[in-house]
Amino acid sequence: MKLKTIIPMTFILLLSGFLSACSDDQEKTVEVFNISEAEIQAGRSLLADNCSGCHMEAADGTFSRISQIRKTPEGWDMNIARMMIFHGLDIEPEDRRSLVKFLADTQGLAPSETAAHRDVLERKHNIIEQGADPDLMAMCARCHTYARVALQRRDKQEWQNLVHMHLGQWASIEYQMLARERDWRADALGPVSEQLGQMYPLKTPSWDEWQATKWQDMSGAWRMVGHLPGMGYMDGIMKVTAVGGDRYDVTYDLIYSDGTAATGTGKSIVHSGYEWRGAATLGDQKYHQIWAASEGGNVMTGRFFKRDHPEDGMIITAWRKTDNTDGIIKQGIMNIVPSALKVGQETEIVISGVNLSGDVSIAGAEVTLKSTSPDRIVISARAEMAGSVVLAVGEDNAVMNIYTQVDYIKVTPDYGISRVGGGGGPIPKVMAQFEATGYSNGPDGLANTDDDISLGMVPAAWSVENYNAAAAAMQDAKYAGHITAQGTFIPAIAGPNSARKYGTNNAGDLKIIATYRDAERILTAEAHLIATVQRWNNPPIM
Amino acid sequence: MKQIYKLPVILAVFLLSFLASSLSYAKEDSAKEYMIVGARPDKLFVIDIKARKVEKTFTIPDSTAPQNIVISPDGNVAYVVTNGLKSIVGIELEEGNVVFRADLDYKDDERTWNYGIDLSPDGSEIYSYDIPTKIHLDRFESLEPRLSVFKTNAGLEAVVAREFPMPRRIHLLMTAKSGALYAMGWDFYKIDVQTGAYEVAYPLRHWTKENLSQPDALAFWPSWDNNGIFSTPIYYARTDMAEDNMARYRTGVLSLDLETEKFDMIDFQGEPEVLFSTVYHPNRKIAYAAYNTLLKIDLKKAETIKRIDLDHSYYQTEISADGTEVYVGGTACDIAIYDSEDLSRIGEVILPNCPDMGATVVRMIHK
Ligand code: HEC
Ligand code: HEC
Repeated sequence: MKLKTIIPMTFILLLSGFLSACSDDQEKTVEVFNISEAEIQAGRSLLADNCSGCHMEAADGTFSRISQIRKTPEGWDMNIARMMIFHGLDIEPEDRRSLVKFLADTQGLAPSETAAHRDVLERKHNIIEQGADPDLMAMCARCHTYARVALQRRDKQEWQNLVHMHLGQWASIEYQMLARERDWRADALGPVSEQLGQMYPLKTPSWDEWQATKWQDMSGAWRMVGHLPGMGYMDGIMKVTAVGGDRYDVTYDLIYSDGTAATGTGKSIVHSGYEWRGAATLGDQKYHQIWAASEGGNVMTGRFFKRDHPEDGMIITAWRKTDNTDGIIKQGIMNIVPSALKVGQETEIVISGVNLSGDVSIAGAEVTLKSTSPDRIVISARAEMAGSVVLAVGEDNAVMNIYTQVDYIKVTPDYGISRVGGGGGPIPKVMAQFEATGYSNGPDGLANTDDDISLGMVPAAWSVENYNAAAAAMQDAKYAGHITAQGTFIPAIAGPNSARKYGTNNAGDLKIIATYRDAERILTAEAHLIATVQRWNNPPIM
Repeated sequence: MKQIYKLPVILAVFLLSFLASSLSYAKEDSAKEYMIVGARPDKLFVIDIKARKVEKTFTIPDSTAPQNIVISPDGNVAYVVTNGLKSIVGIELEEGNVVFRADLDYKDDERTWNYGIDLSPDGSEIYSYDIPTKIHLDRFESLEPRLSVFKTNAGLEAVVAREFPMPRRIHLLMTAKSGALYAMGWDFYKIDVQTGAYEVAYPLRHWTKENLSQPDALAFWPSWDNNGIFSTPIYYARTDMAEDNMARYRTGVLSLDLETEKFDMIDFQGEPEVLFSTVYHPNRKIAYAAYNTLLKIDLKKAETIKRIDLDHSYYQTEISADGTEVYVGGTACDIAIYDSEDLSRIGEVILPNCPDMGATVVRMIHK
């Protein structure tokens, strides 16, 4: 969808001009004006009280090992958890929260430094990390994600200290697969620490510039739209009230595309000037939020997921409705549901956005206005000819695809992972959510070419089969779990299953099959699902 | 070494734990045969294996999961790695009294793990392969591994008698009849326990076999008590065969005769099959291998001549001194017993209260 915004280009230029102005004199000093002197003093005294028994405080107010590293809020929290579990640190929960905030604000990562690894930070399930150096992946991403590495900044010596911690903490680290055919220790302390120090050094222009940028207050009313994979869409309003210390009280008023509504309240905090972390209760369901604000502070994106099932959640975009201090906000169309229109079929379409006004039209289609407000417009539309046309609301517009038939469907993700759980054990099941998307072949009439047009989510019927002969021999499809009408694969319970060969657990190797009927034609598509065992610990950064 | 990643065994073999060896295979015909095995959290069992009966149960100090076990040549004392790999205790096998203890972190501010033990042939010395880390106030410092030698008569606060620097990544120690210490790691090393000098006795990481990838073998299981020969499954790929040809993934049995100190390697099957351990029949013509399946391997013909499914996975394969019974143990709480001829199931021993053996080892002794 093409979004028209009223953020003028000059704003971008202005912003980058402002940033480069900062970087010119950053050589001398970086002014940290987002954090007050009092907050810095309070943070330092928390470090002195809780950490200086082991971490030496130097005359300049820095602490050994602590002041030489930058991490995300989750990274700092995991670090303090390790101090408690492995080194016996005793710290009040309130002090721990305050220290995470202080460390993330003063030694955090800039928005551009976390951008490539937000999927992991947002606890998106089933991530296949791509693009990293395969050798670094083999060295450092076989026990945890590569993001855990790439979301820290430190120089070579501190990367080496981290390697020493690994070697002293996990007896088997040099003996495991992908380690034992190389000199893991020599490689990790040598070339890998060298490389990481160059890729992810302590001091970067991005962080210096971000510290010198004014961090925005998040108060106000926000328009939210979201997508629940396999389920549908969400449209809502969030009202944010500052309560001090970058903390906010929030109310939610949401409506889902199946017509159900949800309201609730929550509390949120912003770390490092843009890392929005929220806890919310809607009905009797508890949720968490991990979002990032845009550098200008008027857009937020991220995941809104069930507290007890991080794999189950929606991907949201929020636009601030009310002016912030800079007076620049995004306006216009945020989402259109459904995003495609079938020829000859009268279809109700919901257009969500900010400050929507003016005439609504779809080129070549008959449009009836059913209801209208600055937030949401509902129309009924009918078109007689296929093609990609313009949907306009006043001055704003987006692309609307009009199609005669769904030519083929695809299942996402094409490779999923679920985990057994429950069964009296402490670890809940981890579900896998699938979604079927319809496609039109596009002008060339050929499937799977660049001009194919996505027609959005289609309601498919779901089934499960054994992936291959080995899975069939083990009857995986019978034991590993089942799939719901919404494409949610629910794995079987944990533990050995005496009914299975070798008394094995309920793991399995499966094909997930979506079937969609478009008039007389039956379309199918499949994905691969590995139904595997539990993860025994589920840290915030996997 | 790309091919090695694709060896299917590696997918399954996430590192387990630590086990080793002894030279108690010198069997006397008059003596009775016992099986010694550990189990979680802290149990050591003495089993009259032919009677299928647990005869004695002892408690291992500071144990949450027993690891390696080595038995003195006279069959009287079991040396067990305990305390999260940080200590070795000697437990005499009549009353269960602790008669020996060595804490491996004997230097200041250390955390030290044992990754292999064995005894001298006369039982007077114990060899411990140690991986130390120095714990500073605010950082760790990984140190070089060492071989620590203790006198077995040193009592409950054994101090190190000799220590020598060692290569990294060793996982199994075994003493030959001559007194030479062999260590399996990246390569198979031969160590002089007096001088600490070591040499590569059989190259693994540095092997130069034509058209074969670097091998993978993570042996933790002593298999020489009743046959005098160490053996382990070993995996490698034929680099001269097509990537998609499953037959390129080869499985062999690597062995070291602890009397002649001769190595041998037999390639006995293609196609991936996960096997954790092997044991030679005392006649040296047949070997057995186990994990989810139990295999009977003809060593002359170099082929698997029988294969059965096991009811669950087992890590270790053992054999009776007379060669009639094959035992599989480790993992759960049962030792399953098979006829060595036709692999028919002939019995089992369930440990009292069904404790998990995990990755401890099974030893065979005669006394
Ligand atoms: C009882 C001693 C002790 C206390 C108290 C302690 N630490 Fe540590 N800390 C250590 C040790 C030991 C290490 C090195 C091993 C490791 O990284 O776990 C360490 C490492 C660190 C590191 C480096 C981690 C890395 O990523 O490489 C940081 C940062 C740190 N501590 C922060 C803190 C903070 C913040 C506190 C106070 C809230 C604290 N520590 C309290 C002992 C302590
Ligand atoms: C054997 C598995 C393993 C391997 C291999 C491994 N890690 Fe880790 N790593 C861990 C575990 C487990 C933790 C969690 C430690 C804790 O509890 O805080 C961790 C934590 C970390 C952290 C977070 C530490 C903190 O306090 O913030 C970083 C960063 C990290 N690893 C980087 C690396 C790098 C770089 C490499 C490669 C040189 C690597 N890891 C290889 C297991 C591994």
